[in-house]
Amino acid sequence: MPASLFSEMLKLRNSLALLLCAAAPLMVVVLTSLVVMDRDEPTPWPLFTTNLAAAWGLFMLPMTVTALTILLAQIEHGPRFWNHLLALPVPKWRLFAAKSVLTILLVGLMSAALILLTPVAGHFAEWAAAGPQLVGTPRFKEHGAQVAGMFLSSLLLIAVQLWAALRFRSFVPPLVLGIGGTLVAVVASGAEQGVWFPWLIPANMLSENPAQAALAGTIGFWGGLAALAAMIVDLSRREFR
Amino acid sequence: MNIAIQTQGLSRAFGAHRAVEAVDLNVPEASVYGFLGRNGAGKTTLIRLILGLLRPDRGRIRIFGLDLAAHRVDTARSIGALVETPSHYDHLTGRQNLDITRRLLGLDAAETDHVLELVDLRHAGGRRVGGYSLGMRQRLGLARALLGSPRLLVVDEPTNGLDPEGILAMRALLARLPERSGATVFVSSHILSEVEQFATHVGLMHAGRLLLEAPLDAAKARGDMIVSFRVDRPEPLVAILASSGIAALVEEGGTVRVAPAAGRKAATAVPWINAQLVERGIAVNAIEVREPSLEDIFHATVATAGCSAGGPRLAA
Repeated sequence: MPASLFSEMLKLRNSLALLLCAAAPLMVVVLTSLVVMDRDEPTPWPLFTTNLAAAWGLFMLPMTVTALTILLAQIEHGPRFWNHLLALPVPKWRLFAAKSVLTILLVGLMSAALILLTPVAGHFAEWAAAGPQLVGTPRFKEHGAQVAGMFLSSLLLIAVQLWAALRFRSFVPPLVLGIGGTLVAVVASGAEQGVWFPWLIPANMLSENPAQAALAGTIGFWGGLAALAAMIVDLSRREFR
Repeated sequence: MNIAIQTQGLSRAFGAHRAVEAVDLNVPEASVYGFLGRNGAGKTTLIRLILGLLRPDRGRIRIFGLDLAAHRVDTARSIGALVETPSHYDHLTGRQNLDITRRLLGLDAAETDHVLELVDLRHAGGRRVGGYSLGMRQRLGLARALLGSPRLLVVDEPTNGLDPEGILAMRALLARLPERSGATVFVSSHILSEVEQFATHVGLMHAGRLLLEAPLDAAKARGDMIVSFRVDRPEPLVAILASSGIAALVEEGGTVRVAPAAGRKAATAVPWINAQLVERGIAVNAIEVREPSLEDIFHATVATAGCSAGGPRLAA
């Protein structure tokens, strides 16, 4: 497994996937900071971090997972590399498991970057704009826990998108799935059934109702692990032509 | 004789299309086996079955005696493969491309340099593959297939897209492998004249079936001599040949071609036929007497098997 995972990491050099991982959290913090700087009145720190987490969980995370899984899958689909990879003396499940672990690691890294960039962005907004922009006491620990929770609950979303991206040679089906899912999530963000909808589960981690957040986390994490296992079994048996 | 690849009753269909039908293949160890047939004959499907990329509908595959269905990973350990057009990660260098496979195979870092050297690509190992020529990409694909010195090298249309110099280099490399490392080389191609120059054994596929499998010499011995005349008046020549019991037909341009079945008889009678032509004042522009080529053998075998002669033409 370490060799498979290391090989997956080697493929990331000079790839667009790596660029996406750097750009996605940066875009969220920059946009949220600009909103704060544009306001006439000061913004409380908790509101700033909540807005940032909401923008990430509701829109940027689903869209980034969609794009990231497509880019990672196209590294193999593009040059039809499956012909080579699946003929190697390596159990097929291991290749798909490595791809899954890498995707989870990258989403985890993006989440960590978002957490680390939040105070930097807040202080930058205060420094760059005239007058006080952020007031109150920042609750970075709580914010970090929220973003980490969103990451863990996004496993089901990762599994669904990665499955579609690896299953289809064309990038169109997973892209349509990702855009459609995110659109539904944005439109129906307040729906109670959102805890069952992979694209809405991370945003549900911000729910003021602790039971709903816990349910979303359970479904997203454990459902994600189960879906990833099912994906690995399915893809290992599939013939890639 | 040890067998590197053995298939028994191997069949695979895609919907109603039977891509491979009841193929019994026996590839001897340390041979260069030319697997020949037109485009669409089922060669690539059979290679994909041998590599475990497709599952057969019926039949068994053994690689060095090991059953592929039960021991895919173990059989894959002895195979290096280059299937269809070589696929590479264009955003990485040649060396990085090889390193990915090398790590998966658990080989030393020196192995990358070794195979780059083998295919004469060491100088370009640090360049991105996106900037490689088609010939370099093909050689890099072969280098990857050679990682770990596999006992069996499976290459699908290795000279596709190569320039004449590249074709010569690839041919020399493949022909050398059995004596250098004892490896068995299984080469599929639709260019019969190409494979004829370095194969020791051949298998002829047509419409999903293996029509002929034999050592190259034995395969060629099955065919009759090819005899043809180019004369200014073909009809009297046909009459002379007919008087000797030799059937012939007149082709476009006035060439008279002896029927394959009468080839050997005509070949021995050429001096007499020529004398008859001179005696009658018929100008002889050319007489060709030659051993049958693989292409001739292929067409004769397809005709004997009663298969359709349609479909794409083989390149001679």
